[in-house]
Amino acid sequence: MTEETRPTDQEILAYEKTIAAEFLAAPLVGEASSFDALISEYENNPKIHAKTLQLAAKAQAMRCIRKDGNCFYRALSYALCEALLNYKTLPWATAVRNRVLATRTTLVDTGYDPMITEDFFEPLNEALEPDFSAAKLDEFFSKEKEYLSDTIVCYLRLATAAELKKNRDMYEAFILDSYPTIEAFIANQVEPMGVESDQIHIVAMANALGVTINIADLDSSDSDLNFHDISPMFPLEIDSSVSHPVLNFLYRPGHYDIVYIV
Amino acid sequence: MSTTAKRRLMRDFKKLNTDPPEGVSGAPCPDNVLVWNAVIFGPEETPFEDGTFRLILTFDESYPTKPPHVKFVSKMFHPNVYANGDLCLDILQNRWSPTYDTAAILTSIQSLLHDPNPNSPANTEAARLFTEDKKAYNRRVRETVEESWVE
Repeated sequence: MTEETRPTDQEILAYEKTIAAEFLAAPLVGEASSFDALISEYENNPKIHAKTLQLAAKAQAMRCIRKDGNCFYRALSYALCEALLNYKTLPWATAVRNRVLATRTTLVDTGYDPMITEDFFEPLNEALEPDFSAAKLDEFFSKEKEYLSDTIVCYLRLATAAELKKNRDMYEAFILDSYPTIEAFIANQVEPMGVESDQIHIVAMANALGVTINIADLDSSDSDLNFHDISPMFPLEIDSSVSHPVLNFLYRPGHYDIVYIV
Repeated sequence: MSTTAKRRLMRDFKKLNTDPPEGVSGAPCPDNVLVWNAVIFGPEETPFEDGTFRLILTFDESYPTKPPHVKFVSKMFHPNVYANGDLCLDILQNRWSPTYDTAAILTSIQSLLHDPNPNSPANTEAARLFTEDKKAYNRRVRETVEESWVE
């Protein structure tokens, strides 16, 4: 790009603000909806369109997540809190709750100040309590109390960072190509709010929280709709002969939404 | 207002009081914990040395999940400070991490005085002089240093 055509930083900032304003008008987590809008969005793209139809045939509903760079953590936290609520009495829920609680220790062990991380843990901790309700879930993800959902996003970012540090041998191979250290990767790609997530963040979350994450991938390949099943490296200590809840998401380049597959 | 924000701001205040980083200070307004006055002393061995630059930090209940709005009140001549006092600093825009606190924000701004980034200019003249005419740049900065004493 030549010097003349490059927009000034002020222009870039102004442009980013306009885009951001559009995104910020959307709810953090949308109502459960059918796949009609998604299907029509890709009407003119035969490869992806076919996959949206396959998804609609398999899944029951979806929820759109706000496109603000926090979408993976937002989608994950909503799906997690909702599953803990819906499957409250299952051994799965108890085991996941314990994993979530254990992340606090990992944070402290990997050098985070407990005074600060405990603040970030507070709303998520409420979602683990026996009296957590659908009304609370709505409140946590309402636009009016955005800071609550953002606090959970923030905690999960730190929990991802702590997991990367704790099991660094496992993750380093995927990071050291682009960053000199795990710490540099964390400072650039994990801790800052609004920075998008990649496969490695998702793997780290599945491992840290003990949940199985299933991602429907709307890529533009010729194949049928692909699902990526990401199971925790250290499974929950529960009966593995029965099936347990799975958190399902839809991926399009740069964005995650929630889907429901029974 | 969220108790998290309030609690965190009180903690930030305590930390700035008991363990202040060198060359910065800050405190909430007596009647509003969400608005802070801060001072950054110009770092030694820079043209900003001896300056006492005043800033206002405005927080809301989304702190620390979102950064405060930070603005210089003192007149600045710096490649990354706009004429209205707004700053062009990554951690206050798209690289904010909730692990930063008020002390960290102020020390980051202090190091921005030390190491301007002329590739991301908010003040094009300051950026140009910084890269092309250090002597003139230093002179212009020294003027703001002297102005900072009499404000």
